[in-house]
Amino acid sequence: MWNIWHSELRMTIRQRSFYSFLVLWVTVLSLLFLVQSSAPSLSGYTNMTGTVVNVALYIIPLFMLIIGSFSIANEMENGQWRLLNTYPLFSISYISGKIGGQFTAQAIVFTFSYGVSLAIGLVSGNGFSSEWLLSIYFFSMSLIFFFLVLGITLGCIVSTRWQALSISVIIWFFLIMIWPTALIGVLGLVPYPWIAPLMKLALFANPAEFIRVSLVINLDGGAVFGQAYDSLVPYLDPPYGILNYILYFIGFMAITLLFSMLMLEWRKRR
Amino acid sequence: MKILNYIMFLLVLSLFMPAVSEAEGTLQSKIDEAQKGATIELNEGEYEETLVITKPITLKGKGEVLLRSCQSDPVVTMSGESVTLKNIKVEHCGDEKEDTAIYVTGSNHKLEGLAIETTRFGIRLDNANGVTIQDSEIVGRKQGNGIDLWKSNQNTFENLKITNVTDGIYLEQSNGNVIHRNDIQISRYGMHLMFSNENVLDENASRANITGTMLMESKRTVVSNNKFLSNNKSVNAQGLLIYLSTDTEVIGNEFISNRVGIFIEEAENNRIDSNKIKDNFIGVQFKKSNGNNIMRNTFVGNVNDAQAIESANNQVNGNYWDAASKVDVNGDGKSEIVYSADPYFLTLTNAVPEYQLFFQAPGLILLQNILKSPADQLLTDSAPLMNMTMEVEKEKSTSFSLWVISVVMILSSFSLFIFGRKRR
Repeated sequence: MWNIWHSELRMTIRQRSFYSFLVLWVTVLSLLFLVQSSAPSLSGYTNMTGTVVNVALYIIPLFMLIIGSFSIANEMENGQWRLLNTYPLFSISYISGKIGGQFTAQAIVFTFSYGVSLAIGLVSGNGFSSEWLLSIYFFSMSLIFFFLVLGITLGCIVSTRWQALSISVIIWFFLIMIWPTALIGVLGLVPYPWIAPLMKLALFANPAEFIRVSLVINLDGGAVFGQAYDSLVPYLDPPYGILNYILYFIGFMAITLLFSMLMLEWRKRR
Repeated sequence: MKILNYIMFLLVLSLFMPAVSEAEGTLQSKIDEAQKGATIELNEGEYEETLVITKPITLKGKGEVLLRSCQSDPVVTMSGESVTLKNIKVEHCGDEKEDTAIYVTGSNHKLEGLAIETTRFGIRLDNANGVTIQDSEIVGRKQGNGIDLWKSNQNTFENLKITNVTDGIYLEQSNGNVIHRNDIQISRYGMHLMFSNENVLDENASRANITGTMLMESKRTVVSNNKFLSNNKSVNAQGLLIYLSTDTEVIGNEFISNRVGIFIEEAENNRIDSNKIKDNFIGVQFKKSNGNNIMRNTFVGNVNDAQAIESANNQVNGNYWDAASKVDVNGDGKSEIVYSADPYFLTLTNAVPEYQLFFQAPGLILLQNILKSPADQLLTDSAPLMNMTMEVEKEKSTSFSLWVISVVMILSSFSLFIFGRKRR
């Protein structure tokens, strides 16, 4: 597992595309931080927070899905995975090595860009609240992680990079762009009393929504979701929030790992 | 003879008994004896009794004076006129529903420098007029109002600190009262006016309550220069709620970090002028309200500036909106681009409150842009201001700690990067 981890990390950060991500994040983040100069306040949940969160939600999941699925689909396509299979290697260590290596690489580039963009923002005379900055940072890191895992799971299913790309975009479009539309559409068909439990279920089904709602609650915005979620909010607010976050993390990992492992085992046998 | 002696002894004793207790002095007896206009000074210490004051005297504490009672009567009952109560701590631990620490009726009383701790109500004014309560503190247990007025007019409340009560200052059928420079926290409603007219709320701070201030069926209220801060913990929280009230003037207030800054429901002819509405989830929300005038306000940092349902006929012109695109062609300080707020989200969540979970979800913003509400449902500012009407200060951490965060991030990621590139 550690071998896969390290080789994945080394391969990723030696690729040229890795540096293009550096440029992308630095550009996006410093623009976001520079926009803050026009915002009078940056603590808690404000419209600027909303903007930053939405930009992150638009861009991070898409790239992470593509990167994650490509990292496996690529090896499927060029036969490296078949080669690896000649060694006594467990699927689980292959997948977790992939996730670990890829996440480390993406975390490095994102953290570096965040630091640089923050420095650029500070040099240009902007002020931030450190609590706000760290919340946004952990929010982005969670997005990176969850969608990388989702991408890698996807990579275990598809057989070509082209498939990986198209399905990544479909998942991204579904989970991010038309999620409310789809839910509103579907929930319009069910009896009214079902809406509340189904909405709560849907919240946990979509990691992007779960992370976003957790962030809003963390920034003291829990009341904005209204009466229906009054009982849910305390569970997502620290200190319980952290525990639930960990539980969610474990559940999510268990499902995705199990699924991708079964997929790989099934492929091995073919 | 012996018996006679005994009777004599008893008689003498009975003569002396009240005199002895008089010398020890219950406070009540001192009060009963006092002339009109007299001042009774209380020595430092605890007094466990309830007082009734019916004539114009002054009761003044010297040092730490504590009046305490757990009976159902108020610790102090004031009636008549011109009673003054000064520098006294009052503790009431009665737990009946209507229990109160101080009960006031009559007129022109003065309560000053009090510290009240109560299980139920703090001070109740019942048909009391011209009473002044100032420089005092009331702490409750969220089971009764801090100050409760019933049919009481022309009273003044100044420089009070009220914490942990139901309603900080509650007015019912009470007119012409002045509420000035009070600080009300962690309660249900900060100030709550019901069927009360011509009251003035000035320079108060109402923070971390469920609702900063509620005006219900009250007319001609003036709400000026108050601060409504962080009333955001409850799902029904708001800074100022104007419900079925008319001719309210809301001028020069600050609404910061509330769930809803100002909520106007079924209310008409109110004027919201020159307020700072900042960092609220929703700046101003209208529901079935028409004929209100919203002008010269500064809207900054609100997640949603304004939302309106069934409220098409309000004048919302000449405000500053930080979210608006602004172009001033003719140089009159007003933008030529109309700013409008779409009630889509509000209409959606009104039908199914569960959808509030989509608040600011990226997908919902997309949906809202596709399904634009009809023009007559929009809340529109036809001439947004180019500049803020008030100073807005910017909060931030010291840049040193931010530099530390930045450097730590760069260094840690860079060292991981070097480690990752290394060949074994």
